Amino acid sequence: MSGYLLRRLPSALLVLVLASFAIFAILRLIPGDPATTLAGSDPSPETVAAIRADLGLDRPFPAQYFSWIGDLLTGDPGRSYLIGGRITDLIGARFGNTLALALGALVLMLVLGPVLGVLGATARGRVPRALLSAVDSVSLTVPVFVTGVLLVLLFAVTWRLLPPGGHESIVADPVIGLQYLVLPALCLALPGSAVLARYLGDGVRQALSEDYVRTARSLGVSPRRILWRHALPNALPPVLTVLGMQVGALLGGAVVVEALFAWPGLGQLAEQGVARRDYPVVQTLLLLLVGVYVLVQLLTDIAYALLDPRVRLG
Amino acid sequence: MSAAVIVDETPAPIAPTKRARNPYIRGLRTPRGIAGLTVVALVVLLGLAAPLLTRYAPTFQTADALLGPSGEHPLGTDEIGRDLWSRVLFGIRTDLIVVVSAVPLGALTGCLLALVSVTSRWADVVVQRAFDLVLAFPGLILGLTVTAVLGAGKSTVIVVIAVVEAPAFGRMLRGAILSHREREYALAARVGGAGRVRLLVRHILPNAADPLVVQIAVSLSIAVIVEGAMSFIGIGVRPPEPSLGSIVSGSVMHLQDHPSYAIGPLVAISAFVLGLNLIAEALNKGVRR
Amino acid sequence: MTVTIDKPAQIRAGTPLLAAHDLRVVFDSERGPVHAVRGVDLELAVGEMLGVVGESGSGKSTTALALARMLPPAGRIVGGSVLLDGDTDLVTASEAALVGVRGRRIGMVFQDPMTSLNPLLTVRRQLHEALRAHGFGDRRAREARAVELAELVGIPGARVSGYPHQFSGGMRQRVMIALALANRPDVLIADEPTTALDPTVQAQILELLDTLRRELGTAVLLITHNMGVVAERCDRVAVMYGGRVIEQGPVAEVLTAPRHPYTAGLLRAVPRLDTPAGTRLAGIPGTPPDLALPVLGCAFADRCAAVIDRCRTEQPDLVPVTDDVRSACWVPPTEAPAHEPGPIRRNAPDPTSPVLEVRGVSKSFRSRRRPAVAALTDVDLVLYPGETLGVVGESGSGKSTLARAIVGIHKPDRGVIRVAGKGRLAREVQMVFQDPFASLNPRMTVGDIVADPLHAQRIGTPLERRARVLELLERVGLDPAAASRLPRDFSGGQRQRIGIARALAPAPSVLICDEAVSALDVSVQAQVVNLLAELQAELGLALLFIAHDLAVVRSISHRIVVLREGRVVETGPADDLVAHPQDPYTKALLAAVPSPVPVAVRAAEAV
Repeated sequence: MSGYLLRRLPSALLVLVLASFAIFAILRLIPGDPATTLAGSDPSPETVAAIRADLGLDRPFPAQYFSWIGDLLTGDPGRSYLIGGRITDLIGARFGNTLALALGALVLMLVLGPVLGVLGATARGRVPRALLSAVDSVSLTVPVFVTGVLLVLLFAVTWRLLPPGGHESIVADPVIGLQYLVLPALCLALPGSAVLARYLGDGVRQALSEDYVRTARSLGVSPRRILWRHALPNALPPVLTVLGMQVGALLGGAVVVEALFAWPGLGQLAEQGVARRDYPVVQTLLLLLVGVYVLVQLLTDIAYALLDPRVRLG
Repeated sequence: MSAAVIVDETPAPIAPTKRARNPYIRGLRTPRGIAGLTVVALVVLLGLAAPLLTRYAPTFQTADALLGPSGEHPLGTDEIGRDLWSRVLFGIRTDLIVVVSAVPLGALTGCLLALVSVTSRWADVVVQRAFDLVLAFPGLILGLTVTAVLGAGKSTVIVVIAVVEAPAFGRMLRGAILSHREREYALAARVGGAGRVRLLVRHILPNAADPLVVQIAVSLSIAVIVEGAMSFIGIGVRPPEPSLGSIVSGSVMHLQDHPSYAIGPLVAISAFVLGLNLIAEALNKGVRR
Repeated sequence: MTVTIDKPAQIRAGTPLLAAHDLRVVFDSERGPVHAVRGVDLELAVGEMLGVVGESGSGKSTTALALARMLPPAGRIVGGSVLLDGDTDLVTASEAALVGVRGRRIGMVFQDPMTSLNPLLTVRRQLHEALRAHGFGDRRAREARAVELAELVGIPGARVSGYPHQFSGGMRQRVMIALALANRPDVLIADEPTTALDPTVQAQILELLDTLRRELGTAVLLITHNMGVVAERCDRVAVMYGGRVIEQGPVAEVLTAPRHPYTAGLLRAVPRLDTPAGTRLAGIPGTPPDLALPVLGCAFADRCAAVIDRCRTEQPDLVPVTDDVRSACWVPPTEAPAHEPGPIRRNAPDPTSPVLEVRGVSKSFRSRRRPAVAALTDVDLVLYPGETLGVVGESGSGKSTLARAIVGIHKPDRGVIRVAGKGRLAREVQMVFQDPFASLNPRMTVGDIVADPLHAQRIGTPLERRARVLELLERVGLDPAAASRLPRDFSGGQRQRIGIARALAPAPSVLICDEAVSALDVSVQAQVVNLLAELQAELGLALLFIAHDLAVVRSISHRIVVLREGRVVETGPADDLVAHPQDPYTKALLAAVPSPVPVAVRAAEAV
């Protein structure tokens, strides 16, 4: 197992390093000089130069890159140019909100996906099968912002059960906080749930047709035990990989959902940072998101190896 | 002919085949495929025929803002009095242009990179790392990054979709080429004297292309979603040009008082995506057997 | 056995333990219903071993699954009965009752040991799972029994903590047998249990099955396509064709005096180790029936030499022809004319200058995580014009690597491969592959496939190529109209003919056949082997015939080379090598080949 980790870890780190290069380089391609923007209208060249020196923009690219990485490693990525304030404070204030949203969505996904998937794989009769398949197809394909609008129309406008947007801290007031969380989290979770359901359903169906399930049947193992102890565990490892990818989709989807539900999270910060070309904020935020995603994929790979002895033992 | 062959086996009758030969056509002939084709054809027709189906230009502002549906304005008007029916039709058009240029661009890029990567170990390492890098960015985050550089606009959306889709095509084609290259029919072609190019073009690609056709349909639907999402958060197609995502975005502010505003773009975008997915599933079924 | 399980039903004397009557199975397919089993009658008595033999598509495996109602979802039993102990009908029993029967009364062993075990569970867990299914004792009792079972089938107790992927094919099949016997069933249904294994491993597994059934008194239904296995191991045999049993009786009688023309044909088609090199094999003309089509009359009528009008209109029933033997044939069993399998026309090879020389060739494969594996070590061989050199060896012997090195797919690490003649390698050396389904490009027409080497090497004008394709198709026994069809319209034997036509297209001087007939049924295999022999004599080809079946290799080869773990262990003239093997490995290989002559008859002959 540790051997497996040792093989897998370098490539994750490599992707992270490459991503930091790419992010840094790409943002330097942005037309326009932030110093000019910062200096206000009609600045003197001396003012601009002073600002440039202050921000370290007059140094060569490699030096800027390494000082950024150095700052990151010491835990202080510096200050924002335009939004104002320390980057750690900016991100820290919103990180919790996005985390709450993402975790809420993940929990919903982990409940809805497997339930729909196993139901789909084991349902008998044409009507239930067709119904489940239709639910799956629709939640799989309809974009997050469409389901979001529909959810608001139903739950907030028509039935007036839940607030149409906004945010309340769950820690401060769990009941109200949850009410604000439900719609955005559900909206964010639906496509991922459908993907999980489909992969799990296909996986279970596939496993049920495998020779080792036939062997278990021939030994007189009960159908219920075959499903839970033989088919399901074999269907799980590939689903894990898909789950890891869905977490990435979740991070991306959070940007849309936060915009739709006025949720003050990292997505909003990223949007603002891009709109105002505040690249210390943007580059740190992007690297953070990529880092989280790479970490999630690493974790799913490790979980895969734990589940499947063929990967673990080679 | 020697006598022995006749003793052994008379030329056995060759079983006639009733099924459609082409796996794509076979897949599309299923109920699922027909439903998908119908829906997509309808949406595409509406988009293509947009100028014939409405009297209003999509950017023309009438005096009446936020009207409900009426004979004059089948879907009502938006916050600055533009006809929503016209905007939805022309929005479909914008989406068509984006999607139809972005997906082939991404597919082509991905496939070319795959072809490069199967030529040598080194090329493979470089290309695979590049794909890893792109895939390390969650889709919309990549969109934000590219927009930061290129600025918002239709061409940015096209680039983003192409970049997001390229690794999917690239990895798929690379995997298919590597697996088909080891099959006996490919070995047989090599033994028959086929060079690298002939082996790839004549033998492997026609067989390895199956999953790509399915992926094109999947990618088209993802492209519609990405365009919508980018326009929705305001980094997509620039106003006043309509796109389905930007119309939905406009409707959000008025959900409470004018819910009918949202109906047109929601139906159009959902039908488009759902139809494309039905086609993808149908193609997949056809290819898999 | 220290632990015993009480048997629920007292087995009455006289009634068969398991009896199928008029069993019918239909599969749903895209082409409509496929009638895979069309009225099968079988009885299995206490403690006996019954062989069910037939070619692919005969319905033997479907029958095996249907007996325990284990058919896949697309298949269903549409008629007949399966009586256990003469009273419980498994066809109408509840699913819950069947769960109690499976494993407890009827155990099963399947063909592919690679896929039949759960990859995520250790062998111990799987044994526990089998025991637990029938409520065997507590955890400690199960643990003791699991170790006992493992040792019973020859797996060291310590290895039960391993996962299936850590075991070889033969060891996995032992695990499979341990699982099937865990709850001491009265009936063991073994569906081609050794087909995926090497001959020497096959012999070990069959020996194990035989020993266990004697020790435990288990009745075994052994499904196989191998007449030799039936002759060596079974008490009685049922021969299946076209979804029906067409002959059934004691092995000693059926195999020595077959009543049904198909049984007789099948026995003639089986290559025997004791027939001298250069003997023509007797194939059965035609191909097996298409089970999607209704069959009027006898399914074998189209391929039968003794056919009469009645055969085409009325289906014959399985009726007694002697005290013990039953046969389904309208034609009264006459003394079949003693079939003399004449020699094939053969040219003497020309031993002056070799057309192919392999000198000191070594090849190893490296992978990133494992140490390099030597596939070939210092291999030498020569092939003369007009000669057939047989290459035999088990899996891992390096025989396929050798073939691929000669045609240039693998580059040897050391040594030289010299091919006489000028021109490019592909002009002189061509190859026929093993898998009739994978070796033809599914997207190309047969005409394009056969012409492909000509195109690739720019031989001839388009018109000449077209003429050549038609000539070749006719030469390998196919209708020239085949040129415009796709490979999927053809049967396995026909596809191998297409592969041969393709290989012959550039008129090579060396033809390499890498297990080219192993995937074919014996009746078809004989046709293709004969075709290859004729082509060789006619065209003066040098043939490198690679196979694991020694009997086939002997029948076609002038000389034989035995490979083991990448090294040549013995080489010599075909008849000499088989009659007087020198190397212990060759002897073991020869001893492992089951002969289709019943044991009793062999003993009588020896006296």
